[in-house]
Amino acid sequence: MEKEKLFAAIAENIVEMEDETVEELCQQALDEGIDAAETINEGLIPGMDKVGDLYESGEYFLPEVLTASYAMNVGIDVLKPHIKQEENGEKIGVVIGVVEGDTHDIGKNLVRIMSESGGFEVWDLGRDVPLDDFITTAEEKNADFICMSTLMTTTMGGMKTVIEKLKEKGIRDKYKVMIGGGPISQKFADEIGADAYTTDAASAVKKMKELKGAK
Amino acid sequence: MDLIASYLHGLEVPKDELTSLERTTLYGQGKPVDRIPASLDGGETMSYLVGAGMDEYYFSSEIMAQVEEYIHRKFGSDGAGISTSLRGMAEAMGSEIKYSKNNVAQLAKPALHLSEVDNAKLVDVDKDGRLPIILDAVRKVKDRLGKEVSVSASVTGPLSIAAMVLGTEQLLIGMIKKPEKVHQLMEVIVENNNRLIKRLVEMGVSIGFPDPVSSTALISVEQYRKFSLPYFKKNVDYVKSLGGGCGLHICGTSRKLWEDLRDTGIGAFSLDNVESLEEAKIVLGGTMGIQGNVPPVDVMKLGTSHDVLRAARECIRQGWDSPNGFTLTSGCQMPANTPEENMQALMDAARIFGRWPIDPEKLIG
Repeated sequence: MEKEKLFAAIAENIVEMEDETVEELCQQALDEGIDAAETINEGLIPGMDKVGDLYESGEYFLPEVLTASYAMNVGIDVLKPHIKQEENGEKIGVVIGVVEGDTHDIGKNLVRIMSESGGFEVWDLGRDVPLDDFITTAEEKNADFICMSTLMTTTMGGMKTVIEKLKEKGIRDKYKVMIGGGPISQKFADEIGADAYTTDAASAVKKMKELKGAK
Repeated sequence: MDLIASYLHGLEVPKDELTSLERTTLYGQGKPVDRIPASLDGGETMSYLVGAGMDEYYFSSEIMAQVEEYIHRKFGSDGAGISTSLRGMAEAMGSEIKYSKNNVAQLAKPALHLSEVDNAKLVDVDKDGRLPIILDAVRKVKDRLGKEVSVSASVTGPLSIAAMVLGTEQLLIGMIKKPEKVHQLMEVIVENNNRLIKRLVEMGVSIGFPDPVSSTALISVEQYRKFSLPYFKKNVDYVKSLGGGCGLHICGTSRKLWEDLRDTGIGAFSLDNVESLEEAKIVLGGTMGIQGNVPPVDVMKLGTSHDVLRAARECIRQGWDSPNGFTLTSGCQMPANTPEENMQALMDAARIFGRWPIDPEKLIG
């Protein structure tokens, strides 16, 4: 199969959520000697971008997004061992996690997937993350963004604590802090002094690109 | 005179003249009352009112009952109820739940993988999980408050239970990849809910179904119709066959589901603050009561008493003339440590602006 057709087929099968076909096609790309990173960038990511568009336009809902991202991960698992290591200059670095006390991570996972698709470097701390870990990881990795999520009203306060800790350490300005999740609002973001709040994963990525440009 | 500005500064709040039970009964019959009904939902996040941690609350029918007594006696809330909690039935079906002092409990380990649905468990409501504690709490509330106030209990919506039995991601992916397995599980959940419903209706309490996973923020209308509505309807039909009454609450967006809800036979719909009461009145008001929808976080928890009055007045303005009645309440569960003066303000809003007969002039801010 021609390379472009193969990439298009991979993208289409991501959109159609056919994980088994995605797996086969990614293997085929490797067998044909196509660069693994190129298959990710030209096949998997455009497929996931299309899924993001369909989600934003209300045609796809979470079940489709999750199933498509599962298919993408199957493809990445096939390709990842074959990626040639190279240093890519200025990548946006993002530390992300669900704050301590909360294990709801669907929203956070979506932001991670979309950010990775957008070419960001993402350090995912998972869920129920001790508040200090956001800061130590950001310092260690020299990240640009600290992204925190929670679905619960009871754990929202943790976000404020992280911002206060950044201030105490005198490193608040080194990072942009972005927050999200069900009970979070712009009002809450303003109140705790976060740099950004968005309502969904697609706009989170746009917002980060925008803020990074402004930095 | 600016009523809101003078609240807490000399404004006399009219006293209630009826008991809650008298009020909601007369109001339900379309007869004159002293004011519109208003309610503060209790549940685990309110355990701080009686000085208990949430972990203690979940395991003590006495604390659960005390919270309801406190809310009713102190604020005059028109409704007392015990919640099965979103995880209660899933826990009885084998999910592991993590409890902590200052947080709502969380799913630690789902009961089943999608491939294990054949093993989905039928529950014994007198033995499994915390269901016996919950039933005991309902009994206590009914005994202590049943003569003064309408008592209810929540039974989680079937799809939301499935999310706690499988884990939400697995449920949502399963809807696409293994729909037959999801349907198989839903049938078991319906039966389990019916077992609980039978006991609750026998105790003479009404049923509220919270169903956050059915929100259109998560699933499409088609998915709702396929995986949620038919099973919810089986539970509602069962409540009605026993002579009970029930209502539904969907957190988050739900507007696109409303037309379908009209035919379910539910008696009330409580909407999240992201949706419009005015629209609910038009679409749903002809077939059921509507309830809502003061923002729980931005207003109830973070606002001042005056913010609560303003938001509540606007809710009353939109909802008071809904054909099958309106109840003022918050748009979703109130967070822990919501100031008590804000709860008082929500109830007082019903006394000030919801005084019967309603004066529409007073509702314009």
